Amino acid sequence: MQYKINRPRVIHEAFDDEVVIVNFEDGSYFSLNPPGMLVWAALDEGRSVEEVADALAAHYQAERTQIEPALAALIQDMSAARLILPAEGERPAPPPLPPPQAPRKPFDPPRLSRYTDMQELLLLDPVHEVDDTGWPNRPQA
Amino acid sequence: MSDAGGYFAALRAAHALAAERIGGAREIALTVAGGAVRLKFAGERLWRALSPSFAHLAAHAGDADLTVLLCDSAETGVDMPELPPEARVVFRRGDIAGIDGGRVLAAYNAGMDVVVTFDPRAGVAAYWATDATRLPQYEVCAPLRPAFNWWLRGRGLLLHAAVVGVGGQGVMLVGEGGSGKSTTALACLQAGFDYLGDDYVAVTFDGPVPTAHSAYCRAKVTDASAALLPELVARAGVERGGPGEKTMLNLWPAYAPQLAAGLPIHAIALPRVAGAPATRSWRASGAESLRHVAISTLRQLAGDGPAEFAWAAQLVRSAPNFALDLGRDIDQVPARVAELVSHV
Repeated sequence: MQYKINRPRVIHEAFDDEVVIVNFEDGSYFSLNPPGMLVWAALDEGRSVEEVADALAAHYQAERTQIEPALAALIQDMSAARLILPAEGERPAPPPLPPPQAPRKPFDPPRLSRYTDMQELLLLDPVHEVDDTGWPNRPQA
Repeated sequence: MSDAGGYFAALRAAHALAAERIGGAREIALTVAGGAVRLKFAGERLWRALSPSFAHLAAHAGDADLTVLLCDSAETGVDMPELPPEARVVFRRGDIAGIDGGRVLAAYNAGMDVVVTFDPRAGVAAYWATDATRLPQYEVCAPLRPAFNWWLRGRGLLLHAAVVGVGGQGVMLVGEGGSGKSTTALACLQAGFDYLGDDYVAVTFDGPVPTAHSAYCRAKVTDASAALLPELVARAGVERGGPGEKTMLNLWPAYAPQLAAGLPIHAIALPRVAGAPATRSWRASGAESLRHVAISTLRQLAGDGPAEFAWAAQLVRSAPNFALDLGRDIDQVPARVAELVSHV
């Protein structure tokens, strides 16, 4: 299974140890921890979920039995937040990932953190309608 | 100068009529973020309310990169031309659905009954208030925010942030209301630092280092902050607010030598009122800084969003980011802020 980032409504900025993601469709924003960043980047390259699991296994000290449910949970969370959309067969498979140079790190499950303090302001729901005078409705005195 | 067409042509005609009714528009010329800006006020009360916030940016009149037509309906008796049918939906943050096929940008502020529109192709904005005497203090201190932000698009943005400077190095202070951003900036001004603003500044990305530019020379302080800054309050021109409002400080002309036009940003600080005796700082991640910079700005400025987010990301990558826990002793704060750029 392949996924794609829900562009252009979803934009992201990656830093060394965290990626910040904003969904302008509903005003929510998120961050991903380093294993989550690896998943995000690999999905963005068009890699299948199976390949993403391989990449996690190559970078982290964990069995597939730990990785696969954690990855499935993350993909479910990202799909529910409409950060990613199914894209099966939309793109050709990218070339195989080279083996990582660094030794495998202890496994921290990939995690999506959600922040909601901006949400109500970016929600694209109309709150005023223009009246017959051509102005938006005035606030009640 | 050419308009995008229909709606802006109607705005221009209505502004001309309003100006005629009061014996002509009052005009002021400014330099904002290196660009020439002309404000044309159809309304004496609107001019009196807003123009002092730009006093430090006065320039000789010439060809303008941005012209703003400002009108007060209550004084002139001229209403804003009706918004066209496609623009009759206003979103929670104030964004108005695009006018003239999206060529004209618009925002409505329900708290003060002001519509701001901007035609990027003509470089003309309009600011229409129903009653200049009802503008809230936050607007009087920092007017035209959406117009400046739209005008800067392509080379920067208007940020919800304070900036002070030491030795020509700018420190940006970012945070929500109540974080201590404004009080920190004003404490630094009182201590002799250069100063660009305590709440909103323009930021451009024309060179290798982002440059912040002053937009406003008025600040507002709570009674608690005023008590911490007695020298500043005594020296600045003070305008007391109404019930529930803050005290407004006119920093020009008293602090004119310290009101810099622009400064390169060499550090970004995220202040927080911590309550410990001493002020201390430590490095923060770019991602943490981005959340503060972008979120704090995006929630206040009507506009597109993704472009501002990308600029904010470029900003936090360009300079070291610091958490700044503000201690109770305000006199210590300027020295701690200066330390943030001592490595430059």
